[in-house]
Amino acid sequence: MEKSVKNDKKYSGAAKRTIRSIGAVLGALLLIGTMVAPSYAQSYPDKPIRLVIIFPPGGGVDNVGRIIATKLSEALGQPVVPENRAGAGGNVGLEFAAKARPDGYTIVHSTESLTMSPGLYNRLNYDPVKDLQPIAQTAVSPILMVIRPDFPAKNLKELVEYAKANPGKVTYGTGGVGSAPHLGGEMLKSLAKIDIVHVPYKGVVPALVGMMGGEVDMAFLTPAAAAPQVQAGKARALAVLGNTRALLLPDVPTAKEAGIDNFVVTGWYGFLAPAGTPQDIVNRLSVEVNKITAMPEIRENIQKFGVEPVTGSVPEQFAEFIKAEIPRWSKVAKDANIPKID
Amino acid sequence: MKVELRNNKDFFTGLLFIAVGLTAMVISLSDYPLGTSLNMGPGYFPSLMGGILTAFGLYIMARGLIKGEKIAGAWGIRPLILLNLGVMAFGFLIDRFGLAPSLVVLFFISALGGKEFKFKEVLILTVLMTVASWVLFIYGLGIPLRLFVWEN
Amino acid sequence: MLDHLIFGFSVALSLQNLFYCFIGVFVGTLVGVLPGISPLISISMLLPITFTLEPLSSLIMLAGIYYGAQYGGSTTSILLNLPGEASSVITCMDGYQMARQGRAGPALAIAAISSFFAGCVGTVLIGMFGPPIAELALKFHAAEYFSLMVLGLVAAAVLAQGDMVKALAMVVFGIVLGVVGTDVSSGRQRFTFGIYDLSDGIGFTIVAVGLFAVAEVVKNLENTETTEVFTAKITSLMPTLADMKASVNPTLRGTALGSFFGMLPGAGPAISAFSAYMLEKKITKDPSRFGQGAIEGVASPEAANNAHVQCSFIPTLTLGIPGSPVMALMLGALMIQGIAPGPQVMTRNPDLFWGLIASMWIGNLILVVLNLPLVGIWVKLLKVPYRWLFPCIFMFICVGNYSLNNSAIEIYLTAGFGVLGYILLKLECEPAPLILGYVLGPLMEDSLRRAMLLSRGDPTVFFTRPISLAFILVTVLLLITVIMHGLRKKREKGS
Repeated sequence: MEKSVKNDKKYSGAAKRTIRSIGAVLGALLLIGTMVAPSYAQSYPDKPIRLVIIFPPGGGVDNVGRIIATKLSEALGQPVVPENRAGAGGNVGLEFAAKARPDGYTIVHSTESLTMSPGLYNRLNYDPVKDLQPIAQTAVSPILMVIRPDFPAKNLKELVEYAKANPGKVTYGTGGVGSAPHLGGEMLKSLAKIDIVHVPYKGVVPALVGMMGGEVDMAFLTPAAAAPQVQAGKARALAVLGNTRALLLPDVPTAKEAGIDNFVVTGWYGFLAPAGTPQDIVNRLSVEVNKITAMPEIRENIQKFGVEPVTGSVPEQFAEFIKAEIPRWSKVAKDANIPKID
Repeated sequence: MKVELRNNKDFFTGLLFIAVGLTAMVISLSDYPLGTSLNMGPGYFPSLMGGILTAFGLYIMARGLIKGEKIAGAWGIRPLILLNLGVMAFGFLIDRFGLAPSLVVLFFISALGGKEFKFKEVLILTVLMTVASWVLFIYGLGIPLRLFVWEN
Repeated sequence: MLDHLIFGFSVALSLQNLFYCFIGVFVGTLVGVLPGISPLISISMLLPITFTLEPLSSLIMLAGIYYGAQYGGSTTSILLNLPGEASSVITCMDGYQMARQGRAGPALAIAAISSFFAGCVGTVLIGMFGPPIAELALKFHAAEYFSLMVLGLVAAAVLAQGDMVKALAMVVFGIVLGVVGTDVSSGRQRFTFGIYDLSDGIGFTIVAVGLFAVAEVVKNLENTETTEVFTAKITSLMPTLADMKASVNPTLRGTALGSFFGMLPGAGPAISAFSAYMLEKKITKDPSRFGQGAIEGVASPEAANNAHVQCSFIPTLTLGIPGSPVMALMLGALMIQGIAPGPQVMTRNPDLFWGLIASMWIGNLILVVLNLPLVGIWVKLLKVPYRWLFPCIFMFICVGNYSLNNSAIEIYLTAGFGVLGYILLKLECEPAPLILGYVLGPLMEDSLRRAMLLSRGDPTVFFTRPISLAFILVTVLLLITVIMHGLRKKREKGS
């Protein structure tokens, strides 16, 4: 008797959920549909806002951008429509945003590419500092250093010793030349004074596959890609290249804890607008974005992509951060002899 | 023996391959480092492939001079130009004016490339398909396209 | 195994999951029909919506979009020579010819049926052999990939119809086009001429749509006498018994090839379709029928791309390694639901794993039920006067290619490839080998350079690794049989 009551309850719960989720699907479609409907509100925003995402669909910056865009649409009362403009390591989207009309109806969700590009490209068609107005940082993503489980070194110190004893023998894979993980590997070379060989892959996942299949000895990866393999014992994480430990892998020491100081490589995501966007609009957006990144369920969703949400990032402080990061990356790229891209 | 070059199929095929192959080879040899076979540079593979393509082009060109086969049928210059012009116009207008104006221009220019052009028909078709594409792409699939862009 | 499957069905057959399965395959079919609108774009747009759903329902829906797109992709290939998805380029070759002969109905039906069969087999394969196969796939290093690419390209050229030299040249042409973009090993931009939009290479749909669809429309309009393109009388909507019989073995072979490639992370479904088509052409008694509307040329690649898509779930689900950007999105969907993808998914979330597998089978069934009655409607589309049809084809081309990256430059490129495609068509150069070279070229360069870097410049690595050696041996064997065949022909001619 009791059992059947329970089942009924369960069923009705599922039915309710079904109805709710159908509603959600329809609601979302309607929301997208209203983007062309005229609206007569007096103040900003009175029409849909274009959110440029500088990488293709499916990456962390895309996912986090879309999570925030959904909430931002609710907060602003106008749809925030994500638009992927990928290419040239994110510079296609950044240039697009830098040259867009500064009226608050175009914003961009960027990554650390913004601060790395000046050190990697001979010529950029926009100025990362002068042409873009920072709004708020949304997340940070520390780089993770992982190694094959059957590799003789068990921790960062042993790895450095092993690499010193076998110069030019240890290989490391990354998702591409000039990516944050690549700069991480080059930083390790100069900080620990070891000779290890960079093997670039076309993307983070191929690099992960290469490491798991034993093609390369270790890899510098994002926590999102590496964490499941580390948890399953298919890869061993030596260090996280951040100031604090990674949320997904709390047992993995930071590089400092593992014995190398100043070995910090952190990716980030954040919103920017074209320079010249009215200050009150920038401030309004900054406040709304920070409200969203403070919501527990949003924080939880962002964390699930292996990145850590940032809240309380104000435009001035974000701008300072960007200004400070650019020369730092340029120096790493120069020290590592990474040829500049035309 | 006088060789007829006009409409010589293999001659022009060879010429096309040589043009592409040589371009690839010259650019990669002059601009991109070759590297070594251990650590190949960005120029290694394209210059090799460009060279192979040029060689194929030379062979096919020579064969064309011997065989002298002609290109079959007339060239459809009018549809070729108008259809692709329509596509280019769409690309030029979409960011500046939005989907609806771009589609109008695309439909009219490309329809001119057809065999018969009836203004009324094209107009009806344009209106119908613009509405259909709004329903399908913007409303249904939620693709970030705007029907009209007024700014700029 | 059986208990697991029954359990899976009991989960997947709930009203809610059936509903999302239907939504998924329906959207997938739609997305597949539209060129340029890829499953990747639509899945990423639907991702935030799935936050409110249960994990299994959201996964079922997203998976449905992905494999549903493979069904839809063949439709426009057959009807209009307009490849809706990368994997359906091959279907254009014989499918479109069948449509011109008034046999669009059987072509569409066979495409759906062979896809269904391949989908079923793929589902069973995931359930039975998923984990061990995924482990095996990791043994594929750069050397193996390179040897596999060589085999694929040699086979393509050797088996191409007509002019072998031209086909080989077209393969190389494709490889050269594939070089455009950022060099993986050095980060350098090659042949981009300062255009940002080219830094990730020329989009596949741009090349395929330009060479196939644009060129075909121009050709249809070139002579002023005939006004209609689809003049052949439509004989029947459904395949005949002879059609079905002819398709059985190709479907089986296509399924096998597609399953194999699907398990390799990084190999797209286009490779499966290509190799399946080439295999059929190699073993048929009369290769000249291919490209002229051979039903095997539809059945086999369609089976291959669908098997591929199903099997590409294996590395994703069992190892947590996404083989493609779409799979990376699926992993994202899992993670947002709080499920750590990876080796433990099968034991920790059996309802999810087996429920998804069962839903894939159900989804394939829905697709067949959905697609077969649609055949009649699609075929009627061909009765629309061509002067109305072709501007609409161009609308889909433009909107689709624009929405890839919201870039006008890609539209200009489409026009450029349309012109190139028409010139190649007039010069009687088959576009298919070019496309193959274009797809495989970058993989080939990447694996060659990495293999050499890892072996410290020692080229024997291609012969000392057993799997790589096997591919090399098959390549040599293929070349020998072709040369022997040629010699025998010559001798026969001489005597």
